[in-house]
Amino acid sequence: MTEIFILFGLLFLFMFLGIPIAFSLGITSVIVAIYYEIPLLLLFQNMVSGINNFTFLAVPFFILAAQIMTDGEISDKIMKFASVIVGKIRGGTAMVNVTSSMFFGGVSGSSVADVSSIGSMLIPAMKKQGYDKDYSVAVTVTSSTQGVIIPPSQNMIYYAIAAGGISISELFLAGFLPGIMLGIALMIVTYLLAVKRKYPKGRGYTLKESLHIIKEASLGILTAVIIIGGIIFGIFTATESAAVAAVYALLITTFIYKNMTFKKIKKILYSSSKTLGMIVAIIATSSAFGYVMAYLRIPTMVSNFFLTISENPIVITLLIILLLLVLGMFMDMGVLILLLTPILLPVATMAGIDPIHFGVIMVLTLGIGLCTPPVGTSLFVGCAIAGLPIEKSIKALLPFYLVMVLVVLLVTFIPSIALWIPSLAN
Amino acid sequence: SSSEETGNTSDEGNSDQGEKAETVVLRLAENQPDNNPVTIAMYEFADLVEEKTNGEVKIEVYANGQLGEETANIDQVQAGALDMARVNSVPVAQIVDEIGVFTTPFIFADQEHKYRVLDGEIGEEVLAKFEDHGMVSFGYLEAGTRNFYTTDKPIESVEDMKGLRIRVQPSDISVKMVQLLGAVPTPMDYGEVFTALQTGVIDGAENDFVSYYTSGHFEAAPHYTLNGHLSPPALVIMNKQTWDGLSEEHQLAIKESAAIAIEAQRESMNEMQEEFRKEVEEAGSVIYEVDVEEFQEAINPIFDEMPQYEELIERIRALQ
Amino acid sequence: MINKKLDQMTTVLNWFLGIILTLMLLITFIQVVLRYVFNSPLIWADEVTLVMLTWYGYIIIAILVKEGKHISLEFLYSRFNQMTKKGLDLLRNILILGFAILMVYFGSEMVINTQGRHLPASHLPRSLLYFPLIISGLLISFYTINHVITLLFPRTGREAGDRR
Ligand code: NA
Ligand code: NA
Repeated sequence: MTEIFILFGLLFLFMFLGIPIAFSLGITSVIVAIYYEIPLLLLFQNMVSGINNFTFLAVPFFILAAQIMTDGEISDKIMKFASVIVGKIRGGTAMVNVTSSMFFGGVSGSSVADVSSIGSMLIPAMKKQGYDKDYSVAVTVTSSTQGVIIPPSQNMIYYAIAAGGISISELFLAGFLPGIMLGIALMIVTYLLAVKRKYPKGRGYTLKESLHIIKEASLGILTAVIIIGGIIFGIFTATESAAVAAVYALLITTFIYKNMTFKKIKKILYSSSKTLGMIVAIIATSSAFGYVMAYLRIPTMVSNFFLTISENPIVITLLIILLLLVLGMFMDMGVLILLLTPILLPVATMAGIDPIHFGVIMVLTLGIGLCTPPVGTSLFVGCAIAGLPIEKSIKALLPFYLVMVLVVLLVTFIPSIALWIPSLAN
Repeated sequence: SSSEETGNTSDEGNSDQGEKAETVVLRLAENQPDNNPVTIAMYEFADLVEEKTNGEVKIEVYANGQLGEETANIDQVQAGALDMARVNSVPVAQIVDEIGVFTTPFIFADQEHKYRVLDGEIGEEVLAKFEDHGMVSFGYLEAGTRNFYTTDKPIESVEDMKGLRIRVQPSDISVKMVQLLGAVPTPMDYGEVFTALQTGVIDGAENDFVSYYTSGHFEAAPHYTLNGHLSPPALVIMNKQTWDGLSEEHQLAIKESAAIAIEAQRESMNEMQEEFRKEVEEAGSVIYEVDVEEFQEAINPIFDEMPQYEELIERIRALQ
Repeated sequence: MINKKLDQMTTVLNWFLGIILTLMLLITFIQVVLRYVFNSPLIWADEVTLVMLTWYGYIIIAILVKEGKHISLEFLYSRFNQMTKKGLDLLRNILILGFAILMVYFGSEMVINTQGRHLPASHLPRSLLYFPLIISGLLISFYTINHVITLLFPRTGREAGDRR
């Protein structure tokens, strides 16, 4: 157990001192490797094989696709489309917010991209219509987590990388229903609160307007159809679907929406690089860190520790979920997936959970962490857009947290919610 | 290599000896999960070595690819950062060219012939070549015989392979072989193969019964053809410097243990092939016997591109 | 002067990255078309794309060090006073520099170790996978040394190595 304390103690020390997470992982690995006489060469070789990984190849393409869709104003069109569908319900704009995120989630794998593109338009709009700030933030931020569970999802890819030997395609398909379920659950809370707080209905559209909007948006939404359909019908693999999505988004924004310029493309490539760089660094050094963990047999220690608490699979599963919820409050989702998967997957397997199913549970649970203080990236962005202090958003968020936890439990204890669609693909 | 004092190992068997010998700990990477016969053999190997050296040499097996994938393990062993690894001969052939001959199609007439070659002079000669590349190895493990399997259309003759997209390992031999059979060699990450079979991105792949079963590929591709194109053995490789640093007694103990473990592994691997053949048949897979010679003939031109193996191949064939 | 040179180099690198990313995208897309439409996939495509990804990844890691844009936890850091912050900035750059030197050292060792070995499908030298470690390590060393110098002798008024 000393190994665990040294390894994670150093890691947290460096992170809290403000050393970038990627380098905290790397430097901790080096120090621990020297202490336990693990050849350093292994760490650096693993830093390379961590990136030189076919599964990871999808990530740059999805980031690129999401950036093209944001800068190419596909998210605008998705939003209008959502308002045609749900805009006339009470709390219409809030419902549009959740629905847009469902569609946006189907084309991008990032919740932060969702908050910053859809939230930056809808939060001000909701404010103007008399919605309370905290409610607007809560709706925007929680609904953005659909993006990490509805395929495609970068975080699912991190899970596949960390778990090893897992099909991303299968994982993607497994996230589909839980993602939609999360969306519907959030819509119910959104609606009930809107009725209670007497928020306005949205505007209606004439048939002609509606048709125009649907036509405009359909090409953007088709991206989601292409990704899922392409995988199901065997046209391409999940990694390739990312490349196809990016090329498709580029083509429609350039030739049909006609709002892509060379200058914009340059900007897209540049900002995608920045996002990607942070992830690549963490993937690289967390591979070294993972190697140190494996070498010191930490996953076995943790499994044994769980077994000393209880041998009941349900208790173990609940403990894992609790652990993920707590850690998710403090740390970045991607990092946690990369670090915890090698440790927790063996425990989950022991408790009889299918690795694909566990991936969905993990991503769904850590998604809640995106909306919680003290470290919640989506919450930060949402509050910044609304100009709301983080502590003032909590009260409105509570009912949403509750529903999200409920969805996690449902998906956990009814495995077929996740595993049904992958089983259909045959 | 890493030498360290470990109190817990010397306590058990030989507490009466009083002297506290320094324990040599060797780390061995294995990429298969715990229940695979190869992995079981590695644990047995480790136990035997510990027993024979009175706990002075301790091999720690890291199974399930915990220490990285196969090619990376080979890099590490060569560099001396990892002591030992259990690997297949296909990736090793990129370093030790001679072992490539065992990875050519239809090189062994049957299993008896295979063991005769591997355990005889030729096998020894090839093992000796490892030293030129900073490694040593102790004999050949059974890694099964690879066959083609497909999703919809069974392969009952070479003709049936025409135009099928078959996933292969990205090696020249596999690619060329599938091309010569008229199919389309399709590169794909192993983790994606199951879904790619299910969805139809590819029409088939190739592997032995054990992998066919454990990967679940039999569910998506139920037509399994007994054409037996490849039968590349596996090996335990070790860094040469680490090996040279061991006492002669310890070296002997490792060699003897390896021999025993290999013997047992071949038997259990062959049993497991049979067992999983039954499993997949019960699960609904159909197994096709084919005219192997037809496949052999179609593939024969591949040997024109491997003049370096000409002499070895002749000697191997002479042992039939 | 040094700052200007480093900036120029970074601009060139950014162009290089844009080109690699575009090429990776095109190769993967074309692979789908070749396999699905023409039933003749490229054997080397995945391997070459992965080599590109490795180069891309390691160079962008270095550039983000220059710009101080790697993700870090700031809630504790942001509560310290100016002096402590400066001390931590110094510590951060020195630790990263140390790590970068190890990247160069072990990257070189891997390049030497893999001499004469090739990737199975594309036959590219295997050492191409480990070169980025050296290049990235060197770049990070330049950038962090420059940051340390600016932290110790803040002449220009521009706080390099500061966040954002
Ligand atoms: Na998504
Ligand atoms: Na939203």
